[in-house]
Amino acid sequence: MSLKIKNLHIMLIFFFLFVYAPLSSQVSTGNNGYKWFKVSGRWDTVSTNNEKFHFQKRVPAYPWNYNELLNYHSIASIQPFEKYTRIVYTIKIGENRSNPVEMLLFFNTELSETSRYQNFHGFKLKGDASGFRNISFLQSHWIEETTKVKKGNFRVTTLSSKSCAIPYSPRITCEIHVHNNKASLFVNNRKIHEVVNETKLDNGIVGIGIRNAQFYVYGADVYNGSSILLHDDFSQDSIKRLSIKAKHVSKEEYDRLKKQKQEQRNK
Amino acid sequence: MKKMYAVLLTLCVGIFFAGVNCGSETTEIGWIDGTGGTAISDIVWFDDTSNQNQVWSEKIDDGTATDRTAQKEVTKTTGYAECVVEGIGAQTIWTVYEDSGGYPKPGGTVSEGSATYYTIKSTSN
Repeated sequence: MSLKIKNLHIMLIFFFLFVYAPLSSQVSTGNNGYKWFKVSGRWDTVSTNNEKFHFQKRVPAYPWNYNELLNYHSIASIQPFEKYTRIVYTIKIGENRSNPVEMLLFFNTELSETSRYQNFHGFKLKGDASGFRNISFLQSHWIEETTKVKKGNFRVTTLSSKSCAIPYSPRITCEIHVHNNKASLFVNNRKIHEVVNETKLDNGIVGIGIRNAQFYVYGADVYNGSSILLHDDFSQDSIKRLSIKAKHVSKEEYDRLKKQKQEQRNK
Repeated sequence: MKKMYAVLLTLCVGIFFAGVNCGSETTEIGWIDGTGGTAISDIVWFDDTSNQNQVWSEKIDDGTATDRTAQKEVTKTTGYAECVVEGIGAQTIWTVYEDSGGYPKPGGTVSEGSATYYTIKSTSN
């Protein structure tokens, strides 16, 4: 009996030292438990008895054109990372989709006074009804460096591209390995593309976007070597959204208030 | 026989005019910036399958002469609106919500044949 208790103590100490403590000190939780910012789309965190995941409900994406991420249904990590070596997503493309399905795995993304997600690098997978057929490596950059919110102030360049054949089902594991200015994309443990960039790629915001398909994210982890920088277990809603509230006003009521305002100004 | 034709013709004409009258009702929405300082632009009304139904491209700014958009026709009365905030996020405008701490609901329905203004009251995290 005493041996069992001793074993339990050893297990608890082991768990605390090697599992809980490293996770709690290294995992980024963003602010108030939020890990992601909803750039666009309809993202919900779903929790059933068997599984937990983020679900993106919409199919067509509206071309807002303030940055390329907005032209997809995207979520971006709230925190930028100083150095990451591996970004891993487990995803599924929904049955509700139209052609072409486009998925963007972005990283090295800048959010600052002058870059509102305009500057990033990423792998884009483009597919037809049954699977992804093309992989490309993209760079997006601002056209003019400005603090002003300006529509269309970005240019997306395809730096390299090749064909591929990846069926949509079942779940797909996408793993990006980054080392300085080199990035490789592995899909279902198979390397499908590798690039060497002019500049470093291992820092900044990371995220994922989809257009023309509903989308499931079952796993999302960011690592620096063996250290976990971001881990989402979907146990709570980790997506931050802005709330914009509008209230119905009749035209007559508005005109009355407007007239009142005008009279106050004239006094 | 002639009488029967006359009755049928009258019925057909009646049905035709009823159809024309139903379809002629237009539903309009406009937006007013009542946030007290946040400039709003690019408001889009989507139908319930996320297809764009109407776009207001103008920038509106509370406290200025251009504090509201024009009222424009929407052909889908059930849907939702979104706008771009600070150039980084396309966010849903909650038009149906509980005022005192209640949970906002996505989208809403506007009455067919109505001319509606919505005042955008607040933007927050």
